[in-house]
Amino acid sequence: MTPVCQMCGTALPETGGCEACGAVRGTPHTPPETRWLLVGVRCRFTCKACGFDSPLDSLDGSGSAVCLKCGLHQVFDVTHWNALLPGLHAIPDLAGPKPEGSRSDPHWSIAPTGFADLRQTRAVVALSQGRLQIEAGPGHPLCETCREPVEIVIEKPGEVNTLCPGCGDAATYASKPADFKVPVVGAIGPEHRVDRAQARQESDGFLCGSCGAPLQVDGRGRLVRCGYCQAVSRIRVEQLQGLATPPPPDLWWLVFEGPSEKRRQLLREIGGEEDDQSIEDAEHDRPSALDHVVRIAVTGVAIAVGAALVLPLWFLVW
Amino acid sequence: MKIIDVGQEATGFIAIGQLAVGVFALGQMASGFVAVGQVATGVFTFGQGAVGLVSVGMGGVGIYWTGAMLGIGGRGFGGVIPLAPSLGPRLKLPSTTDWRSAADDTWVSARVTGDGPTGLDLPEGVRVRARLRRSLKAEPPGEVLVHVVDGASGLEVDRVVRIPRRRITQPRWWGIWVVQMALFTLLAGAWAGGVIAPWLYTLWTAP
Repeated sequence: MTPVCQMCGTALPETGGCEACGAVRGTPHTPPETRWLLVGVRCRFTCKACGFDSPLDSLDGSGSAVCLKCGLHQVFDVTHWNALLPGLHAIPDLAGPKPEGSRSDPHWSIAPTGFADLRQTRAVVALSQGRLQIEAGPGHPLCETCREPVEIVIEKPGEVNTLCPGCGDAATYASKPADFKVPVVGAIGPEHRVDRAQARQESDGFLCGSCGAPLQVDGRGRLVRCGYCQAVSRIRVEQLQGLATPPPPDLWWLVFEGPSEKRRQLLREIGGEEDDQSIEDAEHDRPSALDHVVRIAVTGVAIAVGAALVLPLWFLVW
Repeated sequence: MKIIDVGQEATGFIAIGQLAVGVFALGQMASGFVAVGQVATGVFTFGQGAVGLVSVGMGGVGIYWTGAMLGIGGRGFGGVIPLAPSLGPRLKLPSTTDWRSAADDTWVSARVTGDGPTGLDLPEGVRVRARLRRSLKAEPPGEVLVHVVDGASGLEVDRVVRIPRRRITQPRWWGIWVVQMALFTLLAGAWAGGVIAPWLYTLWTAP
C-alpha cells in the first residue's frame, strides 16, 4: 500500500505534502491491505436560493439537502450521485502507482487508464455534476481518536464497522447503498456514524447527547467530546445552520467493492466499442514472379487447348 | 502483299481503310498484329471495341491482359472479369522472431485458437491489449502475426495481423480455378479461331 497523510488519510503524492488537507509531509501512515476500494471525498452542493456552496457530508439518497447558509431545505436529486459514483469508484480502483491500479488483469492490458498519475504526481480529482461538486482522492480512513489507519469490516452492504489497531476505538457507520445504482458498499464519516448519540441543539448552543452538559462546538469537527462525561456526541451537518461562518465540507469516505465500471469498460466487458481495435489484414505486395510464370503458362495452355478445339471447326467452315 | 494499302478495303503490311487488314492496321474495322480502330482485332489492339492478346478499349477482350471499362480476359484493369487463375497477392510481412527472443517492438507468429482467456495461443505472462478483445473473440481460428511491446507488466500484444490461408490450400479456390480455366480456354479458342486464323488467312491470300 502507498503512504497516506497522517492527518486526513488521503494518499500522498510521491513528493510534497497532502493535497487534500494541506498538511506538511510528516511521517505518513501505511494503511493495511484491504479488499475494499476506498475514496475520500469532500462534497458541496450549490444552493438553489442563495447560490452558496454548502457542505454535503453524507451519501444521502433521500432526495433533499439543507443549505447551511440560508437554511433552505431543497430538492437534491439522487441522479447527481448516480452520475458521479462511477467516477468515484474508478479513483481507488485505477489509481497508481501501478499503471493499471492495484488489481491488474492477468490476461488483458488496459493501460493507459488515465488514472496512473494518481498517488504519483497528484492525489485529488475534482468532479462535478449539476449542482454537486466533489474533491476526491484515494486513501484510507483514519481513527477519529488517534489518527491511525483503521481496519474495516463489512458484514452486509450499508453497515460498516471499523476498529483502530492503535487505540482499539470501534465505530459503526450506516448508509443506504440500495438507493444508488452504483454498487457502493458503504460510507464512513461522522454523518453516517450510528454508535454515538447525537448532540442536542438548544437555542443557546449544543448539549451532550449523553449527559446534557454544554458542548463547545466550532463547526470544524463533527464529533465533540463532552468535557464533563467524556462521551463523544455526533453533530449532524444540518445542526450547524446559523453559524457566523458556515463550516467547510468534512472529509468522509465511500467504500466500493470489485472492479469499477471504468475498469470494465477498459477491459471491454461493457461498452467502449468506439475504441475497439480491429485485427489487421496483412499488406499486399506486388504479384510474385511465380504468379507471372503461372499466368503466362496458363495463358499458353488456354490458347493451345482452345485453338486445338476451335481450329478444326474453322477449317470446316472455310 | 502490298507494303502500304489505303482504301475502302485495304490489305497490306500497313493497311489504312474502312476495313483494314495488315500487320499494322488502322481503320473503322482494323485487324492486325497491331490494330487501331473503332473495332480492332488482332494481337495488340486499341479501339472502342478491342479484341486481342493485349487490348485496350472501352469494351475489351484481352487474352493476356485488357484495359477496359467493361471487359473480360486473363487479367486487366478496369471493369474486367479475370479468367487466368491467380495464386493471390504476395504478402508484405514483417520479419518475425520466436517467443524466447521476443522483446519490445518485435513480431511473433501466433495462432488464433478461439479458446483460452484471450483466444490466442500465447506463453504464460504475455498479455493482450483489451482493445483487441472483441475482435479476437470474433476472429475465426487461423495464423496471425502479433506485435509485441514491453508493456506495463511484461510483454503485451498490441497489434494482430491476420495471415490469409494460401489459396492453393483452399478447396473453394480450386473450384473457382476450374471454372476460370474452362472459360479461359473457350475464350482463347474463340480468339484463335475467330480472330487470328481469319486474319492470317486474309494476309496469306492477299494479292
